[in-house]
Amino acid sequence: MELPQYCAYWFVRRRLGVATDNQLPADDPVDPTVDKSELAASLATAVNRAQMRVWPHVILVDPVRLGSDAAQWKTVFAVRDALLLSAYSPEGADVKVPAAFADYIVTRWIHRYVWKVDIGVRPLDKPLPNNYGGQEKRLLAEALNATVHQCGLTVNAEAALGESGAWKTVATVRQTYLKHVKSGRD
Amino acid sequence: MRSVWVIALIWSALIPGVASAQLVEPGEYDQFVGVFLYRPRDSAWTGAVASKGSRELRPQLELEWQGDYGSQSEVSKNSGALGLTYNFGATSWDTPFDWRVALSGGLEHQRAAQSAGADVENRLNPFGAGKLILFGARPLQTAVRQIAGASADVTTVEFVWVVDASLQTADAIHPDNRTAQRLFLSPSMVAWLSVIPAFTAPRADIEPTQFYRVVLKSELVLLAARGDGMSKAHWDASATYFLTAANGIMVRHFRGYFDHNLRDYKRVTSVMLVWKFQ
Repeated sequence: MELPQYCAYWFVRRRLGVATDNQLPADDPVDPTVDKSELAASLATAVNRAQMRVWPHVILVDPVRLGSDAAQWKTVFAVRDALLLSAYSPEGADVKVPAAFADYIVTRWIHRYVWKVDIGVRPLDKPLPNNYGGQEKRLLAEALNATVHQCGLTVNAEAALGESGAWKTVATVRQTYLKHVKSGRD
Repeated sequence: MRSVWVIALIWSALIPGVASAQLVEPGEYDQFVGVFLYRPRDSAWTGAVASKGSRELRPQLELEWQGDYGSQSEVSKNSGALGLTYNFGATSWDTPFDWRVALSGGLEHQRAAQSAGADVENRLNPFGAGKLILFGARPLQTAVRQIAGASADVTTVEFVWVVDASLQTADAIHPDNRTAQRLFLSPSMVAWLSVIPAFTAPRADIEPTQFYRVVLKSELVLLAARGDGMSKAHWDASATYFLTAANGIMVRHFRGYFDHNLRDYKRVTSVMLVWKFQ
């Protein structure tokens, strides 16, 4: 699993009632009592509300396409894969759609650690707070490295720690993790 | 690491007493160099330089410095400190704030006169310090704006704070003009209220970045000497309006007792032009 898959997995898990985004993914069966058409509709709504980006392109989910095979969904990973496949960029086919999912989950982690908030609509890039010096950035890097590991992914922790001193904005933190997070167990 | 340079002109008309600038910005951990020109009332123009910063030598171990040379007052003249600091701490999204501990040791250079009019002496004193730092940041207000064809969440008001308590040994001139080492307890609080609705111009392939338009900052510090019961405080407040992400104008006022001699009351209002070099 890689960052885009983990983000899509988290969207699915949250619709199924598990809100945390720092847990090891598990391919649990989807409860047969869950209305899968409703699940597809709510997933599309949640992703579209987030206004994820591969800058400057916004990434959306087509609810019709997502719901077309909903009856076949047996496990959480199957829903995750369907969600990724139904995502598209209105601006064209050249946009790397999964990158928007990776961008969003890392942005979410950063905002939870620094500003203690759950993001909804993807926030615009902004500077790290005035009270963030080198040691605060190092602590943030250590926490993000731990989160990546908790999610079953791997990260070049030393590289991330090494780059932390140069972080100035959310975008620079995010870029470090988009670059150094590797796929973990599926 | 961001370097902040401030070139300041402190107008004499705004300085009611002896111009003894506490030149280093409180609460900022980035590297800072300031060059100042100021004119005390009934005196000639004089220059000063202040610097503060740190450089990580190895993980968690920093070389830190602070210097304030050129500002003059009755007893305390200039000072600078160079130390090694070991840091540890944690950040979590399950707690309302984060923390770190900094343990420092080093040398402090002091220029001071035992009393008003006495000869200025140079001293080099070892010091040790321990500091517990709590820090946090919150968006107080956000808004969803249309940027480059889609919605984006924009922080419009942000609150940032640092509360710390430090214990530090320091040589100080006592009220009877005797010099001895004392242990100081210094709780302090620094808070920033920032209005940040502005962002850099969007480009086709690069996301714009928000920047601080208005920053209100305040600091309150108590300096309490253990043993003889002496304690003094100072506060510092500033308002900065940024014209761009890198340039702004700051109005700052501070008053109180700033150094360990606890002898010189300082009260200064200044207007500064601020440049940030990224």
